[in-house]
Amino acid sequence: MSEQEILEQLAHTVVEGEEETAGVIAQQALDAGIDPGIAIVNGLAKGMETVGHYFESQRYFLPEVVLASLAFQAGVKVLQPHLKATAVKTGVVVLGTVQGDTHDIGKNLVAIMLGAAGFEVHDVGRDVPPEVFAAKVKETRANILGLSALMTTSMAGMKTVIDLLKKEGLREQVKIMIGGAPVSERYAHEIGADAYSVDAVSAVRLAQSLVS
Amino acid sequence: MKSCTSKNTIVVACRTIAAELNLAIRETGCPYPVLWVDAGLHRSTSALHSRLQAELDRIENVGRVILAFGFCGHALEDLTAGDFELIFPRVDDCITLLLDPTTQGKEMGTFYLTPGWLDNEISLWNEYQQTIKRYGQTKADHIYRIMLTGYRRLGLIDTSVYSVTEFMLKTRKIAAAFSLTQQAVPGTIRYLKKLLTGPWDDEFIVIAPGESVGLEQLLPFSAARNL
Repeated sequence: MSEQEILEQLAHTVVEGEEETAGVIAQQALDAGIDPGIAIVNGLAKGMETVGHYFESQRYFLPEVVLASLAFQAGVKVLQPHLKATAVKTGVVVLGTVQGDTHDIGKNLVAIMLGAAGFEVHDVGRDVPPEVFAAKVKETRANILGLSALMTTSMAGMKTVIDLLKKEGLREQVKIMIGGAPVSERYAHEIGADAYSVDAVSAVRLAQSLVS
Repeated sequence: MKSCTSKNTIVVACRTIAAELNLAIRETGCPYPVLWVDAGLHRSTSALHSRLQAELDRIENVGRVILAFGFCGHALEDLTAGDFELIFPRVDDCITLLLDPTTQGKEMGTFYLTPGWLDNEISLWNEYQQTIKRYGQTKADHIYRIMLTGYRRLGLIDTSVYSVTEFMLKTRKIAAAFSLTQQAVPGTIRYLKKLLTGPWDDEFIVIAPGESVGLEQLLPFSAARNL
């Protein structure tokens, strides 16, 4: 297989949610001498991008997205140890689902994809109190904070986190990006976040633009 | 509670709560016509938004439209009322509407169900069956374990329109498949009845004719600040 064919295969395994095959093709990519970073970005992530489009157009639903993310993760697991250590870290991200909300599929996916893109990711989990976000931002000197909420009731908690960061004098050191079904660009603006991302693939691009 | 006076009202409602809303209509004696919107649209807030706006745009010659919907993500944001007053409950979704926020809130870790949710063609259970057909039992279970992380209970909302005992039996297999415990949760149609009759106080949002729903009206913290 040519390099292009292997990259297409990688994307395809993610779109089809073939967890086992993703690892095998990822190994083939390494054996063929393909740069693991390229295999992630132009292979696995391309597949995830397609999945995002399918989800948006309701061709795919949550089970397919979960399967795709498992395949993505399986591919990354093989490729990541071979990534060349970059001289400069892309950025440090603290990421979590806000208090009162246990939904974490999207957040986990963002964590995996940011990690694959070279970010140092500190995933603080789900149902996370504002104080934990603030403490982690302080401890890791993060330059990005990602907040997720999947409920109309919990999304207000994003503002509580931002207010606490302001109070503790941490707001200026960190760019805040938010995501999740009930939030929007306008909501991000309203609560004083820096940016909103519609899905995991855009979240990576957004994070890169926020630190550049 | 006020009695039902205006004949010049139409209701646009989510089919998921049809049984409860119909009971509220009978009990209040408010025989408003109802336009039902399929619950499947909940999968996409933008699809639901477009559909609701399309329904509103078709309505003429009424003084008031009552939306029997929760905020459902930001599906109600930017909806524009025609030449009528637009009223909807100040709740995040229709689970809260049936649980009655004055007495209790939603509990984290509980997956709430009524027969209305279950009968919906894209319910949790039907989707699980489809997933099994497509990927096999083992893979389907793996996917659903991930999807339902954080959920420990099935909350069966007793809205008095169905037998909770029967619903317990009917949902036993769901609870078993996803390792959830079953729990009957007291529900109410009080809020739905008040939505029909008024008074439309702080529990509701009222949009004047020709005006749009602003994001700030849907934000819990803005709401609290303005009250």
